[in-house]
Amino acid sequence: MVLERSDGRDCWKTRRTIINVGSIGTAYGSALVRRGKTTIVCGVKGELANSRPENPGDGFLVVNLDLPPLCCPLFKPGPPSEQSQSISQFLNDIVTSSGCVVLSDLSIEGQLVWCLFVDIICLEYDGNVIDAAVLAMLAALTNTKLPKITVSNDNGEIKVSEALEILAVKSQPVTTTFVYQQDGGHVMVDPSFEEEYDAAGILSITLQEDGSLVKLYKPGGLQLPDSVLEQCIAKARSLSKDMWHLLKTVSETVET
Amino acid sequence: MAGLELLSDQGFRLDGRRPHELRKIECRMGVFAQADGSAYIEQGNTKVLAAVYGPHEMRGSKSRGLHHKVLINCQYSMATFSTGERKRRPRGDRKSQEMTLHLKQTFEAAIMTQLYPRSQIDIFVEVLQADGGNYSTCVNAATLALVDAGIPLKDYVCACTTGFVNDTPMVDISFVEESLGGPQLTVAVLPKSEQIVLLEMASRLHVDYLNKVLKTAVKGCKDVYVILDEVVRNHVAQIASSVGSE
Amino acid sequence: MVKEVITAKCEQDFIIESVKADKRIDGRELNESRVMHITFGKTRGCVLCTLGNTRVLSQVSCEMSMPKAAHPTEGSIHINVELSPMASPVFEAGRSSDLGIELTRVLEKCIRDSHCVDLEALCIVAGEKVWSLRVDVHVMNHDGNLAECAAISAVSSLHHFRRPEVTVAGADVTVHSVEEHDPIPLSLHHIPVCVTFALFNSGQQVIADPTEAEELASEGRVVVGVNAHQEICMMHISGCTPLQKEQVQRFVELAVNRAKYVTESIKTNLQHDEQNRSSKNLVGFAKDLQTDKILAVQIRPQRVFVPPPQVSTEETVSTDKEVEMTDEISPPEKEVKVLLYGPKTAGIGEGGASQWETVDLSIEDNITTSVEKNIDLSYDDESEEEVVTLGAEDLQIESRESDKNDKAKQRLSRGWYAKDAFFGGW
Repeated sequence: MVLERSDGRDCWKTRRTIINVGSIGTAYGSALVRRGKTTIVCGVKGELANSRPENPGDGFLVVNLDLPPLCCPLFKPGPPSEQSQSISQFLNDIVTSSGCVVLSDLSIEGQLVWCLFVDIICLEYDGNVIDAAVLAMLAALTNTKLPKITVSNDNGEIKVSEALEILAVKSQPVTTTFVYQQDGGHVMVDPSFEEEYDAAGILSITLQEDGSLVKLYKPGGLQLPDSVLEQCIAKARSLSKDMWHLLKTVSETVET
Repeated sequence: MAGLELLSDQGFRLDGRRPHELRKIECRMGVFAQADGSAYIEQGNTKVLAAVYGPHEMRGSKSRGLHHKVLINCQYSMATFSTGERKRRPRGDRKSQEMTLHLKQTFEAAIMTQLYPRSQIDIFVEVLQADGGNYSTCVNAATLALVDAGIPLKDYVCACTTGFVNDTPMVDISFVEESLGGPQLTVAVLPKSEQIVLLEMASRLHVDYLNKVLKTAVKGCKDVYVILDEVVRNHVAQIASSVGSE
Repeated sequence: MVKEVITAKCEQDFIIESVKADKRIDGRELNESRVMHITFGKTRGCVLCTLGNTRVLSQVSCEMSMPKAAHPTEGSIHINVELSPMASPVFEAGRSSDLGIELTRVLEKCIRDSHCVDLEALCIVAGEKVWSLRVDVHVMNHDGNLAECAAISAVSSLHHFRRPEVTVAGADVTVHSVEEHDPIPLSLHHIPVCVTFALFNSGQQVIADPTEAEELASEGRVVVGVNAHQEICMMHISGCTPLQKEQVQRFVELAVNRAKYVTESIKTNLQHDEQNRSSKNLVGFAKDLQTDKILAVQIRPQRVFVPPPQVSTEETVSTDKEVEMTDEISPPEKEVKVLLYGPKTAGIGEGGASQWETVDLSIEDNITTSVEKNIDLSYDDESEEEVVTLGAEDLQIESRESDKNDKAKQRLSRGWYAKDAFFGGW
């Protein structure tokens, strides 16, 4: 039985994804991702800092997601909600687990290291913010250009040059999110707002290009049999291939 | 910064414009589906998004509602990556709160508030890239978003920031021109009647020059109005044709 | 949630109508300001400024700090405004309201952004040590026109303040205490003054120095910061009334005139204080307290113009009648009777005999029915209490045989009030 969803897709089809990079001049790297109607913008800014004594030579990478009241009438103005905090933590975990940016690459000289802030803002919320945020973060990081820093030996003066070098991103962990409903346990990929709202449970699978599983995220929800889980991982593998292809194409179009 | 001349001898500014020329304005209406009205505007390198929700029932405490007019709730937020130096607090710091207040005062004068008593209109503005003239661009974006949401306005509200160098008023100043000091006049105007809704001035300006600067600022606003009006008409024509010709 | 100020509509309407007739409640002209007083405290940099009933206290302090990376040779100035709850029931302690933010920004623009203080003169060692000034402005009483009062007090305190003398010898920096070296004044380029106007009648009428009630009734407010050299330091027009360019010119002209007067006044006050200090006279608030100048509630007598009453023959007759009637109603003075209830208990003023027709409490039901029959008590929507005097013919008192009769009769002689107020006789 072929199941058709409210927007005409079948269970295993994702919405149209559009990525745009480098639009924001004030940030070192930026990306805008549109998945269906969900719109996410990401900006990467860098500051110089001294590394921690217990991890000398390791830079810092901090990811933060913001869900402002602009994106959906459900969100009220005020301090970051639980949802935005938990997704921020999810993104930070992916960065650490996958090693997409090696922290020792961010060191400049001696104690001086880069501290990168990846700020993600959701502009329109139509479900599945996690996938779009991960894509935006990857697109922004792959196209981040940091200025070359030289420290003069005599007086320790820090010089920021105009020349830019691209940040080395070792891998690209891509997330695929599934939801399943109460009744028959139909699993659907890339949920829209209504589907996410009515779901009995959510499942996010993060994979890397070499095929390894970076993170499996199933926050509570209705129990899922093993067979369905394996099926989801297999589907995630094939869908992630499309995302890697998309990211590569976008990066190639960026003029160095 | 020594050696940077805001106005060269031939009368050109740092980015090659003439003193009375605006930056390139590109705008789009109806960018979001969730919001009742939305708009995206690019004025040079300043990129601003505006979303309008409403009019809807009072959210939060019902006692805040006004019995004779609508409550306008504004929020001005700058993305942390929007400025040269990373902004630690996107909203809630004093400058943002002041901007929020100014936006609210501006639109209270422009929206026909008496039509929706005991209701609330939310105006959210997000600055994605700041390159001078933040407030003016926000006002222009919010006007388009309000038009997109179908909220009745007395007139468009167009705003423009004007600087003053070498006895010449310069329209639509960029971030570099702002930071080099000098007086700045921000004006929000209802273009058809040339009535001033909000006027902000910083730094010192001699009284005798006020008239000149004010006149140039209002003229700048009227130029912005022409562009916004065209965008609105195109958008409406597009929507009307896609809805159907019955 | 910040409380909103609620004013009665009739009060607002009254103010609006008065302004239309070119009058103000306290008798001032439309462009007349209230009396301004500047008092200096004992410590340098402490100033209390009063404008009518509005009072603002400000204090300047300084400390050494690192300069900002972008401006290594400039000191910094930070302005902090406290709207303390004692100033107005609307202010909440610790929470910044819209008014607080507006006031802080007005002062920042007026003082900091207009380069009133010479920041380069605050540099001690370039790139390492500079003086950072802090101006704390406390609003003590809010009766309108906070911007002007706060600006005057902040600027006066900056003029009044003296910073410690500093000597730099190579890398060593020594700060001299007050006993060693006289502290030196700050170098100020100009004296900015903020002037507030309230707009009425679609911007046609402008009143200067509005009180709180006038501010709340107004359609919009204009704050203009000007200095004596005719330079506009800042301008903020907000509110619901759109304005024309020509109207803006008018405010600026009015503001410039006011600024001249205020600048002169500040200078005179500063000179006066200097003279007092140098001649070792008593300075500070203590001096003013001695002369009973600062009180909890200060009322300065003001002349109020009252137009003479219009005299016409018909009206005088009616007023005479009213006068006569009041004579009749006031009862003749009688001797006060002290009543003894029991040991150690006495009382005065049990109420006395009732002026109304005596009514038996036990037959209330009959009264109400008879009243309904005879009198049409029509209640309008507006009047909440319809007071109707019942005459003897309206009431039909029926005598009933009951045990309570005797007691009732006793009660009757005393009217509505029971004889035994506190003991027995239930």
